[in-house]
Amino acid sequence: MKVVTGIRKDLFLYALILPGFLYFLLFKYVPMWGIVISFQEYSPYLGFWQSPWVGFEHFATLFNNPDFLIIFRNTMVISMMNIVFYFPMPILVALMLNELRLKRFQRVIQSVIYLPHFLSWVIISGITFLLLSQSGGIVNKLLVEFGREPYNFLTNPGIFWQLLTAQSIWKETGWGTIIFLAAMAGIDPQLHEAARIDGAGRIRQIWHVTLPGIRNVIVTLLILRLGNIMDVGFEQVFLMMNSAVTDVADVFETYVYRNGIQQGQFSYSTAVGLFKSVIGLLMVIGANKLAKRYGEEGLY
Amino acid sequence: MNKRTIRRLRTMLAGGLALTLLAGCGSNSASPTGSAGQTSAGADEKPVEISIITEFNTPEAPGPDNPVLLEFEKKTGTKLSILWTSPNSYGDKINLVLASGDMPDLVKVLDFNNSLMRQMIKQGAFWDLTPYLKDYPHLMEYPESTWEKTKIDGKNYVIPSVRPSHGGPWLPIVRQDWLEKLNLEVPRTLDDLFEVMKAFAEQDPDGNGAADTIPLLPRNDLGWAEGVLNRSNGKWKEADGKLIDTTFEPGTREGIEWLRKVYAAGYMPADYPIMKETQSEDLAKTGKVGIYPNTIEAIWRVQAELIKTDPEANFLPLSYLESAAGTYAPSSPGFSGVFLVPKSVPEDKLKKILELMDYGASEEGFALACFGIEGVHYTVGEDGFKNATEQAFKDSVSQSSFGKIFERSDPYLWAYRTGMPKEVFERNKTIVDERTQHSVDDPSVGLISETWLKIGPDYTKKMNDLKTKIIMGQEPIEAWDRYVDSLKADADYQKVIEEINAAYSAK
Repeated sequence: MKVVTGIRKDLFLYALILPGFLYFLLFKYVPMWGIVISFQEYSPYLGFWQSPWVGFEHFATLFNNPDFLIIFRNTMVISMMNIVFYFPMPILVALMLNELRLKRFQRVIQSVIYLPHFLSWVIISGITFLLLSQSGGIVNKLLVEFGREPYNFLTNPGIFWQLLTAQSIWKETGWGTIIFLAAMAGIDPQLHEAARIDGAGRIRQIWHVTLPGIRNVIVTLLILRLGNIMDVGFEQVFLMMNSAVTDVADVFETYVYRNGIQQGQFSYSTAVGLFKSVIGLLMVIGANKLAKRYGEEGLY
Repeated sequence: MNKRTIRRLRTMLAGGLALTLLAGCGSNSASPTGSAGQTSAGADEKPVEISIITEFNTPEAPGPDNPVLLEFEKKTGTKLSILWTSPNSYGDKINLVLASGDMPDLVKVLDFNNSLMRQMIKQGAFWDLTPYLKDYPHLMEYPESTWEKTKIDGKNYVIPSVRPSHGGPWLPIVRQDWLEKLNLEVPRTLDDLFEVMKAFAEQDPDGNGAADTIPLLPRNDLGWAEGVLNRSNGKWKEADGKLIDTTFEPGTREGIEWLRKVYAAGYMPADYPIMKETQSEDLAKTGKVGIYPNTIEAIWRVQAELIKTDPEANFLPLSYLESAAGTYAPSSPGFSGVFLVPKSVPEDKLKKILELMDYGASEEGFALACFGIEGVHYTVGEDGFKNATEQAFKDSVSQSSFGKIFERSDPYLWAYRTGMPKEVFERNKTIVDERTQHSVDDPSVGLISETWLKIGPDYTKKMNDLKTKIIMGQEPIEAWDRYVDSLKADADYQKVIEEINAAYSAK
């Protein structure tokens, strides 16, 4: 009875929730049942109900595949490089922007560095090819102009990971600053004033006031990031990959694409996807625990 | 919440509802009037709606009001909705279409060994056409051998997308005007080719005073180099009644070494593996390329562009190459892709679809597909040659658009491309005839190894990646020997060889 009156009382609010609730139910929770096909030998014609069950066979195939370790390594390395080199970038840039005196200048810079975020990977890889290719790339033309040997950027397994990280930094740093700038705007100005009166310089203020003020946001984003550790982004790797660098470039996404879409092994690729998600979940739980142990708030 | 707000809410909701209803009406009423306009012009019978998915190779896909399409509809009493799909990702797209269960009435699958298609045929997802085909005389005019090759478990589940046996596969195409300028013979062996490349690189064949020519512009598939040394068309080669895998043949190793030599000499672009099809074509159109492996037909696209600035430019497709193993001109299996009709299509409609395909296989239907309508898309010259008009390009009338669905067996199909003048067509016909004499067939067409369906793509990819690395000098040639040794010890891989041979002897 109490529930009913409660609902009746806030009917309007519940009505507002409804679309979001339905969205998650229909597009997030219902399709989740699709993962059962990773335990089946799924055939589209037989469908969900008649495809035979095979248990953990697909998982066994995955773990016994000699390429599994290579793909796992590539995924982890590319992800970790992103976390180590890309993740601090937006924080650094946000700190620098925050210290700018001329607010108008700050806003112009901010808007300009957002822009690459809105370019698709197709365009970015196109730009990369135009800049770095050996037959007509601008950078190599300059190298030759200065009497140097042209450098092999694009078909060189030795620098493929660095190339990907550099692209990510270029594309996403500006966009990533938004959330940190917002967090910095939320810091009580009195803290800065107090620090100034105590004689703290700019660097000290950043270290003792600004950074602790956004610590929560940094930790939250880092935990979320760790949850996606197995996702390195299909488009970027797929577009930059070529047969000379496959050994360092093949990641779970490209592997799933080849097996799932190109060869129609739907069950197998679902199994790979499920494996990825389980790892991601474990990472989130682990990171959250760790954060709490060190006195942070964590996600939940 | 007071009464007034509720009332206001109600009016808002009512208004919104009315709007959506109106929108619904609008879109509903639009389509019947559209189709009614067409039916009144057509036969008195109500046209049968047929949906088709196919790929196309013209720059633009034909639109829904394309005059050739309307002509086909009028002649066959159908209403066609064709899903023209880019060839670049056609394999991916078709797998998704097959998997979705929501298939068009006529589905074109390019890879006859597509494992999903094979699996679904076994499960009964497609019509067995065997009992119906004999009623369609034009379809029965397809070569007997092509019908035989496309049988699955002895039955015709598929209509082959019939194509000639010669003129399709890639062989090097050489700038003949450059050869003549430098007093070189037409190359026949890989050593000749190397000499020609050397001359193209050093002797400034385009006469601009700079050493900027690209002697060889490779495309993704460099298989012809090992093909000519092994004298094999593809992975499998017949020897003493058995199929042997050319991966283990010395010719494959020599082919890789030869390409490595070409690469090391700087005769091909340093980062060739990253070049996309369109990129390499653009490069070829700059007129700096000496040798460009391609099809006889597709090279016309490049040449038509080149002769605008350099009327002398002339690409000569080689008729054959040779090595100690003999002369070599790979043939095609006689079809490229197959059509299937899903079981969800009722039998009456199936017959209508076969009727449509039969019309497309008639001389009249095929000419309509490839050349369009006389006076609009082509004019007939005094010699009977059909000269394409500008309108033919605008309407994407071509064997690469409508000719991808409506087909007739024509040995010279691949010698022609829309807009080609008669002399070039006649020369190409002689090249096709010559290739027929040096023909090397692929003995493994239609043979299935279940294991290969599963593991093949991964092995093929690995093999090609390794070849690329060796050619680029990133790995020594010994890496190939090690890889071949590992394959000899690989139980899965050996099983593939057994299965293919079992399928071969059962044939």
